Amino acid sequence: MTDDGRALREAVIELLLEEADAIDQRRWDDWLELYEEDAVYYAPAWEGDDDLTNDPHREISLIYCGNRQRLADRVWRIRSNLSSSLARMPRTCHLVTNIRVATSHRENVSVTANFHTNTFKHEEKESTAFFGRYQYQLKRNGEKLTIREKKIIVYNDIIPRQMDIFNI
Amino acid sequence: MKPEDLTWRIQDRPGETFRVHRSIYTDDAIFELEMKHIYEGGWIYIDHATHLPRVNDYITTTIGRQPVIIVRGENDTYQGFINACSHRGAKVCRHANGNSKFWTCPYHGWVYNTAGELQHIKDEQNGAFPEGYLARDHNLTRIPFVEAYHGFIFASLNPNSPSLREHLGQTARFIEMFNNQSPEGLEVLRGRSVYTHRGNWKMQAENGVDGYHVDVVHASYFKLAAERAKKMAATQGQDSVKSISLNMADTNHGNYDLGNGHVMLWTDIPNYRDRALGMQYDALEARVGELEAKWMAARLRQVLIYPNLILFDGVSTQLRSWHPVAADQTRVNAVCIAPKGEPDAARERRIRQYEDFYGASGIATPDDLTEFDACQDGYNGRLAEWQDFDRGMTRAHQGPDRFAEEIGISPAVSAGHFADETLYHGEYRHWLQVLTAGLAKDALTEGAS
Repeated sequence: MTDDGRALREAVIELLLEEADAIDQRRWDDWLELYEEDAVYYAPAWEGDDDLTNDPHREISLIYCGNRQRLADRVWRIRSNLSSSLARMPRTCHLVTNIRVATSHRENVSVTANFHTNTFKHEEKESTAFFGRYQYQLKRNGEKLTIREKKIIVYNDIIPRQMDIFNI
Repeated sequence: MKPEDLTWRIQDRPGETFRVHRSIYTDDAIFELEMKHIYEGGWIYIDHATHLPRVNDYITTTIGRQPVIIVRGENDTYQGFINACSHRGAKVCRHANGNSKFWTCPYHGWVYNTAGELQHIKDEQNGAFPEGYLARDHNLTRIPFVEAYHGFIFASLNPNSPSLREHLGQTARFIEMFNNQSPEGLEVLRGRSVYTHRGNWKMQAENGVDGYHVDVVHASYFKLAAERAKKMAATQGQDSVKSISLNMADTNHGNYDLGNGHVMLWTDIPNYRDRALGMQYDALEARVGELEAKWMAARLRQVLIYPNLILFDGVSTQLRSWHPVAADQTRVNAVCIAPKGEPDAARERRIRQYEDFYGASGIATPDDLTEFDACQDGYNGRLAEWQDFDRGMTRAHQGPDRFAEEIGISPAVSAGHFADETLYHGEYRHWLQVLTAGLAKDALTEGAS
């Protein structure tokens, strides 16, 4: 691996771990800063065992945010104190692993990773988890990496009460 | 349990109170009764025909507690079987769906055709079966009724059920209205949402037609939609969602007890032209007429088809059905349904509005589920035994109101307020009637044996 490749890999790992930490520590503004303004955040829905939807304009997604403002909407809701499902914010712990740079071409970097997000819900007095795969399209601007697109494929898609940007 | 063990739990004193004993949400014996006499004793919504477009397409699911296969036959007919091999009872068909002329049981290799007939016994000649064995019926057990109405597939495990059309009764008017969004009919969009919650299934049947909770439980949703609209107006940006708004003060609204446990809720939508169908309002009006267009596109309708389906046509369009798992466990299947041949911009609008509100990954449904779970927790407070559905009692109108009359339906009770609770009286009178009739029948059967 070239020095540049190693540096890129380090920067990618740092970005993904920073995102996980920003969510778990509820540093919402820091989290939003990682995304480009026109970034796409996309958790496709499943249709069958091995049949994942792939067209968010014609099919239903679990979550589809076509720009950063839509993510900011979800943060607004968390902060609003108007939602009883968020009144006792669950504690979350993201484990992000198997991080690989799939392709890197000029400013475009494509990354895959696995995730396992543990959620402790106070009302239920129990823990649940979502797990699956992340696919990132990143933008490289000198030393800095930002998120252009994040696709989240949730493997266990039967949802106990709530799925939101903080627990996948 | 005897009928009189149930009847005291629903106190129905017109003009005074209608109250239910909270044990109906928590008692395991009552849950068993509901499974036997409501879910396994009458018509149940299964799925939409979108998921079985061709002959020999099948799905597997459960009716009450019983595993079933539903398969499409010739000429838009459907049939169903208990999904258990006649040999040792293993589930014959393990896939969620598929297309096949035969099902082979993976356990000992017995083969059935899609009429449920046993076609092959592995190593039959060498079987040394007792005399007459092969002449006995080894077919899959057939479900008495599987039938579709405008693509909505229902089934009943009870051979004495009334016809489907009789069961649907006055909801048929609303199914037709829903289906008529396009002359080509409806299609379920790809992308499922399955979620679970710790509340009793009857809260699904209550809350989907509850106007009273909307502005409280979904305060974050409506405030966010308003903020979004304001910000977009200020910056002249594009609002990619255009959420619908509701205004109870200045619009017409109400709810109906449609009989057979079916109920519905409706209200006018101020910004109905932001809805997918509203985007084509003039064309719709030209096709179906003024009155029909108003009901179809400008009026939110949420119709409970008792006991396990709600048609939502308002915030977006959703089919929500559920499987009771235990007294305090429910699994919900939600899909978006849309008119075939819809323009791209309208389809995308419908999808974005759907995802925004619905599903356990949206920003409204999790708040509903949280309330169901909170109720279930509250019901464990056994000292607080009763709850009433008395809101609106002194203004409920017996028979149809003028809005019902304009579309030719005859509700038993009409409420002129979105948030009135009198529609639940219909749900629970039906509930009690079905369960007590079931218990009476059980008593006869036990008496006879």
